[in-house]
Amino acid sequence: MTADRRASWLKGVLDLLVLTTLTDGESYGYEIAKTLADAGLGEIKGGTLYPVLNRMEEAGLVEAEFRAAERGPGRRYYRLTGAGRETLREQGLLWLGFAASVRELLAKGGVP
Amino acid sequence: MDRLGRFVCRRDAADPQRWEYRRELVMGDRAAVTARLAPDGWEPCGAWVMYQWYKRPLAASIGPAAAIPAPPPAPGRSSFFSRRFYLMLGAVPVVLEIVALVAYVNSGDAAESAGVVVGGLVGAAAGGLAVFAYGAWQNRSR
Repeated sequence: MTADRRASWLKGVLDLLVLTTLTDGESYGYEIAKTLADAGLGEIKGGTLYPVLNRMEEAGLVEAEFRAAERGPGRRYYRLTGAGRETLREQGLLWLGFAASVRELLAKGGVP
Repeated sequence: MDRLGRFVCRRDAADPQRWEYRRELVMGDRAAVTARLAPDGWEPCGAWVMYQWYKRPLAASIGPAAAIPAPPPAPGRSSFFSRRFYLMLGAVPVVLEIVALVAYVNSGDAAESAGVVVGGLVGAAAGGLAVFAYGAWQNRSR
C-alpha cells in the first residue's frame, strides 16, 4: 500500500525530478537514476525512466546526444534546454504550492 | 526469465517499448557482473543455472526512435515454444524407443521386445497429448 502510494506520487513529479538532475550539467540514464536513488526516491528502473526522457526530448525540454565510448557500446547524454529550465521553474513552483497546501491541511488534521 | 528458464514477456500498456537483451555466463559473483553492466543501463532480468540475462530499453541508445507508435494487439496465445523444443519433444521418445528395442532384441525375447515398443509408443503418445492439452488449457484460461 505504502509502496503503491509512493509510486503514484513519483509518477506525478518524476519529470520535474529528472529535469532537476540535469540542472548541474548533462547526464545519462544510469547516472540520473542513481542521483534519484541517492536522494531517497527509490530505484527508478529503465522501463520507467526512458519513457519520461523520451517525452521530454520530444517536447524540447532536453536535448540528447549518443556518444560512443572507448569501452562499451556508448551512452546517450541528456542536457537541459532553455525551455526545460523554464518548465522546471514554472512546474516546480506549482508543485511546491500543491505540497504546501497538502502540508497545511494535514497539519490541521493533527499530522505533525 | 522464470525459474524454469522460460522467457516471460509483459507489455506495458501505457508505454510499450523495444528492449534489448544480453546473456552472460556467470560462474562466480553475479553482483559484480551486474555492477559492471549497470552504468550502461543493463538491468538483471533473470537467471538460470550459470546464465544471467540482462535487459535495457532500446531508448537508452536511440531515444524516442525506440518507441512503438502502433503496437500490435496482444497475441491470443500465452505460450510459445521454439521449433527446437518441438524437435526435442519428438526426438526424445524415438531415441528411447530405439535404445529399449536394441536392449530387448539383444535379450532374445521377441514377444517382450514387441510389447516394450508398443508400450513405449502408447506412453509417448499419452505424454505428448498431456503436454498439448496442458498448453491448450493454459491458452484458453488466459
